[in-house]
Amino acid sequence: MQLTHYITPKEIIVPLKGTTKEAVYKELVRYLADEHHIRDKDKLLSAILEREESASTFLPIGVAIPHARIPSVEDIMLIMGVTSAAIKDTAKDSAPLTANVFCMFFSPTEDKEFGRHLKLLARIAAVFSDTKLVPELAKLKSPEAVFERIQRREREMSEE
Amino acid sequence: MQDQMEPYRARTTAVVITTAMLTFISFWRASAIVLCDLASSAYYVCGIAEQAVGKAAPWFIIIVMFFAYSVRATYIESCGMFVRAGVYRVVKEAMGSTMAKISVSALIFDYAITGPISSVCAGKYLVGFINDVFTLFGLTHLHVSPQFGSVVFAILVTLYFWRKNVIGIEESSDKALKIMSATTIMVVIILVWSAISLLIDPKPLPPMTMQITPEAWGWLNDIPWLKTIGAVGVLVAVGHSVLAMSGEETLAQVYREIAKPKLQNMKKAAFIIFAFSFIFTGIVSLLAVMIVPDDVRSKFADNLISGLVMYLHGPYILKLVFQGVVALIGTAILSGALNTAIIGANSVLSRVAEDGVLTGWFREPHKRYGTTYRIITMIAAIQIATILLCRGDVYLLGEAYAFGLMWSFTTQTASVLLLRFRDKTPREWKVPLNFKIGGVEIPIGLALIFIGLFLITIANLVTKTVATKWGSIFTLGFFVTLLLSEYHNKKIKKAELDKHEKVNLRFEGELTPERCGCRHPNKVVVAVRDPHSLYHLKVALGRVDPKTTDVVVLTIEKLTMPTSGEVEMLPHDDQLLLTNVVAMAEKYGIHVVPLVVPAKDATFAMAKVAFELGASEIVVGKSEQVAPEVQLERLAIAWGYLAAETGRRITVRIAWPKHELKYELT
Repeated sequence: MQLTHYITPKEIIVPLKGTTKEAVYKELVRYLADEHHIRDKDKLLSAILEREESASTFLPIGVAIPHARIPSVEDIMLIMGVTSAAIKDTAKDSAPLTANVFCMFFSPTEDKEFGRHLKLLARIAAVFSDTKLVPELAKLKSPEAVFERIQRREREMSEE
Repeated sequence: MQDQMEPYRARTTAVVITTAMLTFISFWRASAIVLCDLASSAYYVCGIAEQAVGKAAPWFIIIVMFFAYSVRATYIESCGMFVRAGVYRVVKEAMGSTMAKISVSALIFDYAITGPISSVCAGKYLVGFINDVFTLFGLTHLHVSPQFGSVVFAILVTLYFWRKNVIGIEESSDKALKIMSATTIMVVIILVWSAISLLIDPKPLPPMTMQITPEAWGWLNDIPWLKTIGAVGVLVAVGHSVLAMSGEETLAQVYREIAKPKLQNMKKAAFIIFAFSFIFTGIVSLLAVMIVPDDVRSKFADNLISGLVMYLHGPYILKLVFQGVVALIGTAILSGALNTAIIGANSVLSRVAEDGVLTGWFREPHKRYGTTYRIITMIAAIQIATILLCRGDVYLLGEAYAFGLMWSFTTQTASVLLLRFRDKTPREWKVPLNFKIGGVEIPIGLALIFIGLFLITIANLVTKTVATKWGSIFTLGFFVTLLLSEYHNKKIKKAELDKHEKVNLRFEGELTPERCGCRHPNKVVVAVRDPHSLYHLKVALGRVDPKTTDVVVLTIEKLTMPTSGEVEMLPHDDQLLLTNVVAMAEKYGIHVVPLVVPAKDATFAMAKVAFELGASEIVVGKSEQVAPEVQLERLAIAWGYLAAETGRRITVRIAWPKHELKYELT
């Protein structure tokens, strides 16, 4: 599984306008809904927030992976956002983590699709396990550059 | 940009929990341990029984061997109910704590005799052979006193096995297996050689008529009319031959250590034990009485198999060499019986100690080997004292023997019988011959075994006067000691704490399969937290193949565990958790590797341990905080991060009653 199979530069927002977690999530949901012609944006956002409430998706590698499984989705939909100013996690019980990269995705609720859902989560964690990647992406100015850098990282991973 | 991953990159440290309690053995090893005790009686039982009941002794020994096969059934049933199903546990469940303590005290008396009778007898065989060799070379002035020689030998061998048991049971079961392999070869040679000898020079079977000596009638000499009843005579004769089944009780003691599938392996072990002891103890005794001439047999009362060998057909020198082999193997198996007595007594007293009856001081594991060395030392000391007191008299030991054994068999069987009515939980296996009358199950088979045991026990009580006198004194003394110890425990209110598994802890600064004690190429990591919620461990233990897979039981300690240096004690909650883990591992007979890993992020630590140990599967229970899907997501993220550069795969299983989620992560 490749992360770049799920995104194109069109699904990358650089830079994110939001300065808080909630604002960033809203921005990503709005953009994704527009891209995929989904009317009920609130439903997407509430699914993300509900999942986030059960356990924060901020990772200590400078990445957040807000995600949810919703019935109306037939295939995985992913959107990425990058910001140079780290966004703080506001979850009550979690450690004070920050993120510069947001990989938001929605996946189908069918049990048979859950395996792919998990593999995508694992893939995102694997791609960003390179500690240099997030600081580099945070400095990039265009979606194409971000996409290219991630593509390069995945190529390096497959070569290894 | 702040490095938030720094704490996650820290080297994984772990506290490895080491204890001999977590080692499991095959049914062959279990059979060998029990047989070292049970089959070793072949070396002395016929000599002792013949002195009491005459030439018909082998027939009574054969009856006892068949009876032993039915007694083994009660042990299988009780072991299916309780993993640590020694007499203490079973009698306590059925008849209460006081009766259990009395039964244990009686049994310890026999353990105090088993070791000495075996080791002294071994000494007799060895000294007998040495003296024969001296005679052959005309060195009669070097004649060794059988009494003195056997006492010295018995003490040395007791000290040897004391040391071996302090080091650990793995070593002991290995020895038992080697001894039994050699014994099997020897028995086959004896049978074949005896058959050839009987073909060349046929001899009649021994008579079935018993000739009970006045001494063997014991206190029944005062009630002459009873002696005229044939059935009483048979009971007395069986009573004097019953030491042939001594060792059967060890079956319950080794059950805890038998590997998966536990009960099936127990049944296999029980059958091997029966078949071997029937042939060795029963048939070889019969052959000895047939082949060794009546007028010289009394000279071989303490080493009858040597006598049998010396009267087989063949060249004298060949027979002398084989007598040497018999003496050497006898020395080994009889010494093995002493070893088994130490293991058995240690096991019984450990159960008693766990229950808070013996003070925690006794259960303290050896710092290096993790064994209950204080109990082992106490048993060895009692055995050495017995050896010194008997001064090499095997017949005296034989007369003192079987008091505790028979009471322990009887109370154990009575308890299993009582539990059939009191405890209706389904049994894994039942003693056969059960009939239902009006919805009530009548355990005929169990009842018959109990009646048989009870009658023999009473017969022994009134005829084996030495055993009754000394056995009663010892039992009473030991019982009082247990009572005082229990009182002391209650007084210092430590009984609750002492119920926890006693273990040794070792800090490991770097996690590798070898340092954790993993033995197999496959590893399954089972994460545990709540001592009362171990369903997923049960699932894992039920599925793994212990021959190829290690089960690493992992506890993540967020608060109190140090990340470096020495660790003296586990936190209290972890002690209870470990106790329950050990109990479950014992139930399944699977070796587990318990680890405590200090970490802030439990999910990440779990994945990291699995990654560093090269595990193929992680098994977790259902979290109370988050949904199982979220647990899987967290593990997927952690695994993705850790295995990024290797692409390694792992299966993650979340199991809770009636549910299971299983996914492969890459």
